[in-house]
Amino acid sequence: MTVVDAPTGHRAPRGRTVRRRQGAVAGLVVGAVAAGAAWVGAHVLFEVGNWGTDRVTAVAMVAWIVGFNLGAGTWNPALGWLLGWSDGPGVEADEAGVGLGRSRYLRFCTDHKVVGLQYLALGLVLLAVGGVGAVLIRTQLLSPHSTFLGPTAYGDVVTLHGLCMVIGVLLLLIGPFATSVVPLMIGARSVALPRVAAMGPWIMASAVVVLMSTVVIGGADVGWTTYAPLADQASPAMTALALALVCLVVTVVLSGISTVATVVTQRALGMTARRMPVMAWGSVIAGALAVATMAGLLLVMTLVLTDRTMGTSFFVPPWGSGRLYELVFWTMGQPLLYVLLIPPAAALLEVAATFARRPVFRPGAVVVAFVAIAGLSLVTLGSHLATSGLAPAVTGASMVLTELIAVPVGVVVLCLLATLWRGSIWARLPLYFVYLFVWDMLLGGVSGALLGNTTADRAFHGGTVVTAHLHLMMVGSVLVGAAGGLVYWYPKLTGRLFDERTGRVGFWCIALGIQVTFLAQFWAGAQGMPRRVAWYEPLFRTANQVSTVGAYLLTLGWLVLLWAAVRSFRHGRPAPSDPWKATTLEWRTPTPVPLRNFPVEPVLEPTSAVARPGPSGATPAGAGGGR
Amino acid sequence: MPSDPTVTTGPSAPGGSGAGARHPWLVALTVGVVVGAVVAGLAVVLPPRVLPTPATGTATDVTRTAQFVGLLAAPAAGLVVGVAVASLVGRRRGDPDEPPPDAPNATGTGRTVLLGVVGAAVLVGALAAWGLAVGSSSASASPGRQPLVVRVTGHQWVWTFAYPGTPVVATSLVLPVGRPVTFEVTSADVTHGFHPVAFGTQVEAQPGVTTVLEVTPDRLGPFRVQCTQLCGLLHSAMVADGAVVSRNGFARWLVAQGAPAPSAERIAQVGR
Repeated sequence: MTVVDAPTGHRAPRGRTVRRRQGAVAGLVVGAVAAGAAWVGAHVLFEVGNWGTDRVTAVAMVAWIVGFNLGAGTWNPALGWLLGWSDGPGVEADEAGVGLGRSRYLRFCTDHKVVGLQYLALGLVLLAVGGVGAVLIRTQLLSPHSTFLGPTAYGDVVTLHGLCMVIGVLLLLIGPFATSVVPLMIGARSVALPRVAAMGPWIMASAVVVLMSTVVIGGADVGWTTYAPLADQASPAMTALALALVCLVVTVVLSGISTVATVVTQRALGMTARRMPVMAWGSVIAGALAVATMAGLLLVMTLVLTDRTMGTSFFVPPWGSGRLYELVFWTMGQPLLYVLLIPPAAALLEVAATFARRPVFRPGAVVVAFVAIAGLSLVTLGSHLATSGLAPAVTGASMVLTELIAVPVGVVVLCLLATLWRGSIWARLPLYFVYLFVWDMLLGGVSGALLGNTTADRAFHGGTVVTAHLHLMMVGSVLVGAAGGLVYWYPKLTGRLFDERTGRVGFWCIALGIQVTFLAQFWAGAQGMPRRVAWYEPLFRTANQVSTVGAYLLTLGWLVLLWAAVRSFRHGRPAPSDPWKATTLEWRTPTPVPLRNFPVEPVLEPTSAVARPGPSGATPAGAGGGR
Repeated sequence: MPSDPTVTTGPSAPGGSGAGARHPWLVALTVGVVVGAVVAGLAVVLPPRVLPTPATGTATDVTRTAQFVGLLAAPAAGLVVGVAVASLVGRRRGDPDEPPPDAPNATGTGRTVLLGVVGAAVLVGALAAWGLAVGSSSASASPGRQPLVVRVTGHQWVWTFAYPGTPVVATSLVLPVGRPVTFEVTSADVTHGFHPVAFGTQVEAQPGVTTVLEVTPDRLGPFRVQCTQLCGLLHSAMVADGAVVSRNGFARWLVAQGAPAPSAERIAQVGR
């Protein structure tokens, strides 16, 4: 389907009045009514208590998810087809939000730039909640036997912090990066499957509400990995949480399919595989890896749901086992870490190229390295299972495979450094994040190499050495990379220039905060401090206090950076179409980006270099060159 | 026309000489060697000082492994930091709103990548070889002595330790020094992690499954047993006291816990 930017059709297509009223508000109303009705109905059907409460929760939550998306318009493409609603240019223009102004951001909208920002908004909400969680956790850990949070609240906060952060950062990468920017980079005038792409944020929005509802309906002190059988034992909030994660799987798979399909089919003429920007490659590889592995999460969450609502016992002995959960969960969990790591690394390679004023060094090697990382990530889950006693025969092989992933990661970092080496450095804010990324990857990589060693893993497993390592990867590398990319593409996404003076203050707080917070956690962990504890031995007091101070500084840094972004959005200077004098195609289109992305279909000249089409790279293909 | 991007125009280069700009290799090498040396020094010095005092051979292996990984990290850290710093020194300080002139394409070739792959592979190979060697040495049970079996059970939120052959079931873990111990670990409810910290190793306590952990404590003194798998409300409090005692001390402790009054043979048998 292609979106046509013609004025809306002459005759009102069937179902149009309904469609016009759909959106976030209608979604909230329909969802709330559906959930309420289902809750009452479920109380009649099921006896409350034991499985009954979980059944009521599940039915009400599913009704909310289905109802919200009905009201929001997520099901329209399928529903319209079932109901015989006419399809045509008018409908497509409506769905793309033609003439709706800002309100299209609150509607089911097939314009991929809108979809990307919808994801961004959801991602920021989750990161904010996760960030509050982080501050609460660190405040609790200021003293060994703090009573700031009770043990119940602490466990719930740990769960919510982890899930919100992982999902939030995932949405940042799916949204502004893979959905907004990548289609522009490859010269696409639309995404390949606009309706599929548009469904994602709405399904996720309903899931975010479900996730947040766990605060009200009891909380689940299970951690982001929600290990069963602990998950079987937790309050009905766990049922809601599992449903939210099922929605996450659906969203990630839809967006992954959309990204892959767009890059495969919608590239501009002349945008051959060898010329495709590294960022586009990174998004496709990460998207494909996500689609391939999300089934693991779907499976364990479905089985947790049946355990909780139907009395099965997949994860409870004697018939079932928690080992089954761990094994299947990490078939998703380990690749997920690389789904999260590849796109920011790719984004920062683009940033490095722009601010070193030269092409990315050996983009082919980078792409091969990404593929190798994705492939190896499928077989390195053993590092998470080293203490499970499962399959001791393959412990050695598993360790070697885990450590092998350092080779392609090293190649990516090498190419990033070689891009900067003797480059013509233009020290603008996005480039700062490249250097911070490299440093944090060094720390995270070395600690990863240590944890990849089975002997060391068995000493440090379940301790704050692991916490420090994973946060250096998730915050220091992934989130820093995503922030650098967002600052870089900010002028294109928002039409405003970023306030770099304020942003730099935020950057330095973040850079310093990361080192203090997580290096102190290595210290505590080396002394033997376990993860996810609300109280600890006085031995670990100093390290924890240092870490908490660092975390406050880190939080301050993110707030300042966010403040710079908000202020620039409201008062920033209007951005020219290409503020960085960059070479990739997304800067060759006007800002704000028109509905069909490029005024005329971009064509890359046959002789232009990889990722660097030259000043005439996006030449018009003649007057009639459009589709 | 791309000019030489490394010409210094301001007082930014260290010493104001502009040497960094004209000789980036020298900057990279100097910084790299210094950083590498510092990392190597820390790698040797820190682990024995920060890690818990080892009470088993495995824990000693952990300290050595941390040192070894740190030493391997030294050249990588030197390279990364050296190149990153060298790319920054001597950059031109022009109008921050105007991009500097384009840099020539990087001069490196596929050989640079190949060199990187080989370098990384050598480091990873050393890491893997070390890991396999240490792993097999800690896995091999100490020969000769019959191991003491202790059945460990995780409950929400307490550990119990049963000593087969005696009626003793305790909530603290007492072990004789120098004798191999086989922990048979399981859980009564959810997944726990059995981690005697100073032993430098751990194993999961999974309901319905018995996992095995073999160690030989070789140092007298108290140690801490903690749960390393989030197990619900009081996970933080799931800590047990442990002690490695002399063989006679162990026999006395068993009796104090309610084991039958020992005959001479029994002391010899249990405390051996």
